[in-house]
Amino acid sequence: MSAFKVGAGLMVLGLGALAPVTEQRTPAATGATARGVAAATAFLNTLDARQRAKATLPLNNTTRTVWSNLPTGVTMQVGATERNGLKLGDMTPPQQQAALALVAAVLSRDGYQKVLNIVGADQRLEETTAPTRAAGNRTRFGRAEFYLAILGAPSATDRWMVQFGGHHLAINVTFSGRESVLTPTHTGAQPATFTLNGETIRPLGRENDEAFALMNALDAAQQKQALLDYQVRNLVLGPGEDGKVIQPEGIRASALSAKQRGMLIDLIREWVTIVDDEAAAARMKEIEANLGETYFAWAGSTTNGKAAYFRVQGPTLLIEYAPQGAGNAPTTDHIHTIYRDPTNDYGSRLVSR
Amino acid sequence: MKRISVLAVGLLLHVGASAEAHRLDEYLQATRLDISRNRVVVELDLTPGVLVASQIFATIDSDGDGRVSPTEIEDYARRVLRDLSLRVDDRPCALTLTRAESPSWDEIRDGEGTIHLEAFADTPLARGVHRIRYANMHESASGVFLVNALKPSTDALVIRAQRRDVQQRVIDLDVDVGTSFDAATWWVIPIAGLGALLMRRRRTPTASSP
Repeated sequence: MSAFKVGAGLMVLGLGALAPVTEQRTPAATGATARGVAAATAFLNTLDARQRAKATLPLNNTTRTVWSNLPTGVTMQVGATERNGLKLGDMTPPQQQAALALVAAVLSRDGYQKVLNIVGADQRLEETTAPTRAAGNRTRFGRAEFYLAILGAPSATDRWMVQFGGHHLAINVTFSGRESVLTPTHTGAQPATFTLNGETIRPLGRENDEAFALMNALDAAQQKQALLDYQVRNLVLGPGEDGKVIQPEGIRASALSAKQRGMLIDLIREWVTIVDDEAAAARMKEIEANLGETYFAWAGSTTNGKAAYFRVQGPTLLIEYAPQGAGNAPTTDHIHTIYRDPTNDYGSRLVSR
Repeated sequence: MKRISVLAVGLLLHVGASAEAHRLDEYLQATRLDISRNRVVVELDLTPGVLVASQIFATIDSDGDGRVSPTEIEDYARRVLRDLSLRVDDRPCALTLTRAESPSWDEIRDGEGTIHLEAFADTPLARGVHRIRYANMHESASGVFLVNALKPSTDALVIRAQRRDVQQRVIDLDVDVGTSFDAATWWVIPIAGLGALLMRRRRTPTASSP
């Protein structure tokens, strides 16, 4: 997608002020932490005292777990009634621009684009559902309902965290010195496909297509191992299920050919590379080292275009992709995903070093 | 009945905005089983869809005041527990309720409210392979089910196999307690073998050259 098209699309979405943000990344920066600290400081400097108090929180075991797939107005899985931080709708345009510059600073270029596409889908959902919303219904979608929070003090050495999220999005980036950790993170989309300026946007399209390609690259015996013989209609370890590990199922990557393993790695990369390039490279190295013990499981149709659930699970990895029932049967137009590292969610391993 | 009708009318007005985003006539029921040597903990999350929300809420809100009291959610939780079944080696195990939490009617109405229940059964598992069967038959007509076993926190307990019905209402788990070699054992075997080999060589007289 060209920069022009992205920018034009964002203008239409009402995110015009954000369009230049992707161009503002500083190539000379020494790393995501340095970029993050600078962008966080710049963002906080745009806020008044009341806004700053809302946008900043202490980082602890409770505050970091306040995130969800749910829209504003619904109690989250962890019991909180509102996301951490300050929402875009309560910011001025320059503050919004500084907020999204911070999000861009801690993510990769593709990761930031994915975030914008998810926000764009939710804005479309708000526009299509708001006219029929009953008085008193507190549920809200749309870009104004995405929150940015800074947990702990931005630091080149100490632990701190950036959270950006709303309906179908929970980006949790924990920093500790030069290292940054993206897990746990939730992405989702509804609509999963929409048109903007004549261009089709699929926020999670690559995840879907690469998974179907992998499943269809398996031979019959391998597919039999990968297929779960039961329906899976939701995420198993979605928001609110921190610290849990389920018994793995499906086909082990050690039973895949080199080409198939490469396809699995490409699929995993769709989540891992949301974060900055340096952190993503280190994370991919770790995941590839454990690839033989990683499982790929599938439930549903193997025909791309139909709904299917899949899961990738390894010693340091859990990815789930779950079409949701919007109406009754699962639909390809409403997707939830989760990305976790059971050994390092919120950078827990970094602290023990 | 009047209360249900009022809820239903409100719901019809409400469905327009919610229908596109949420489940409709499904009652999502997600179970996680945490199995340890002496206990099975059952965590159950219940999320009624928009079109079944008023029906479910009416069965919880027994005094009809539009709110869920701690007593009401506990009563409902006990009714749910009666629809669950846990068996170890084909013996039924009684579940004891330890947690019951309900969201507000507003959230249930929107198809986003989740009721959280937790219960446990004391199930001392002797060394050997055991069959654990869990079944959830609560509101089975509208139910959409998920059931998963958490990975045991100790190597001494291994889930060898898991089988479910297509709807995930029932799961059978083959749980191996203490019969598998743990990591330490894998070190002991070659070291013991090497030791035995060395002892044997020491005892065997060296063949003399002709």
